[in-house]
Amino acid sequence: MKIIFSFFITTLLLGPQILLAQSSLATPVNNLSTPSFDQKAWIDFIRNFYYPRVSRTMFIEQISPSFGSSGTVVTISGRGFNKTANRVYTGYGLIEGVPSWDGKHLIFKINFLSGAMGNAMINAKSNENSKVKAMRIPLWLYVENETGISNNRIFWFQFDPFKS
Amino acid sequence: MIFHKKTFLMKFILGILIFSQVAVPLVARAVGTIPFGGIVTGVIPCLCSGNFLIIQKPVAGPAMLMYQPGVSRLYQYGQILVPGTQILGNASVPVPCVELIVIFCVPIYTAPLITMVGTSGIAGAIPNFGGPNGSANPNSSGAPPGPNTPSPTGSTTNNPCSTNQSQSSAGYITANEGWRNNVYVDSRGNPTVGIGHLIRAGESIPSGYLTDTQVRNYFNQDYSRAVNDARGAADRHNVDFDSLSPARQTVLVDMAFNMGTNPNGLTQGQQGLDGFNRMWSGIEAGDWQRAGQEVQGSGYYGPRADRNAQIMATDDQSLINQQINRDPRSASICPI
Repeated sequence: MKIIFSFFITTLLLGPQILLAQSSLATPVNNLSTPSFDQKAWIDFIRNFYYPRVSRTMFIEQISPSFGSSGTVVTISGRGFNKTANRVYTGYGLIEGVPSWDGKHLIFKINFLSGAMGNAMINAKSNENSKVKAMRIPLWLYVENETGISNNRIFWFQFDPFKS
Repeated sequence: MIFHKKTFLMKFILGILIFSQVAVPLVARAVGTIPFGGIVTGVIPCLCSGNFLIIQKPVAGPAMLMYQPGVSRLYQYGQILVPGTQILGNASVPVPCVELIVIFCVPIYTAPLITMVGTSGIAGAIPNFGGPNGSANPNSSGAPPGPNTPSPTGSTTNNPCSTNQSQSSAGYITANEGWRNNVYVDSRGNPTVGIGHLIRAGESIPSGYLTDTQVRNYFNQDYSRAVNDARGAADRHNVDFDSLSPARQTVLVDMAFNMGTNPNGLTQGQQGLDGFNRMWSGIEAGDWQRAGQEVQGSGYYGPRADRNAQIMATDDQSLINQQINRDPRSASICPI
């Protein structure tokens, strides 16, 4: 009797997980094994994967500030930047033609989720119970120019419509 | 009913163990990894769930994925939110994208959560490398020239697949240059696509991507130009191009393809085929050792230059064949 009761308790605890697992098993979990997988296309994809050449002369030492929201002006300090044209990977896009007056500093503005943030703020004001979530998003910054691509630094983008 | 605490606890644990034998493998399989790879075509921020819906043109895996900052592990180059980048990784259990619509949070889609992802650099996002105003050349609206387009210099058009010799040269150049369907930046910082096709001012690839047919068409024109350039350079240095062995012809065409012919490049390393005067002197004199040495003697260096120097010196066709065989696409540049 006690054994049956303890089984009953454990069934209550684990039953939903088993049902979830069994229902999920109806769908393939590994899409590489599905018939739609095209091996040739996959090989082409891997072959064409773009790895920028690593620069031997360019290096990012620091970024300032290292966190902020949309509109933050970021300064990248380092060495080996092109004086007229650098490509800055921002983690959400690409800014081209960024000049460096001394080859050691680059300045650009973070312009990420600005539209979404504005909309969220408007909606937050109109709805006290808005469930818009604050996010902390790592943006990987790189600089690329004719010498190759630099090392990276992470800018922490803070999306918080209630504090902005 | 009276319970003995100790006995009940033991049986409860036993029950968990028995069920875990059944349940854990099922759950593990159900939440197993989903490998994926493709090109990002769209990114939707899900403001209420604090994550991003990533839409990819999949080569493998699902077309929709969820990226959760702080949970999904990013690897080099970390550009998951940039349309046009290639992504490669694993996903797991489905999670919802909950979007703010007017003033309500509404789940709009459920997709597998990315557990780890690496990305390419941003190669395809170079649509503005056209003219000074970024305007596209009306003659190059993304559609490459056909295979029989006359050479701009008015010289003859060379079909890279017309003879065994030209097939070999075309395959060798393809192996040396590599085959890329997407725009990338070459070692000199120039936007390039296909088989080493330099995107010149006024020319644009609007989508940043070429089909295989477009790659071949660009190559046909570039190859034809390189053959004419090599012949022209040989003429200017009193060398009969047609009297050279196929392997040495291939080396000259490869050099012309890679560097052009301009003898007055901006830097020592950028001079073209016409600038290799001592190499031409060696060829004219039939002094192949000297000609081979001089292939590398003008700021042209690296594995490709080493190989070309060796072929020039030894006339060893097997080095060309080895290079072609390393890359199946090189062998297929002239489909039978």
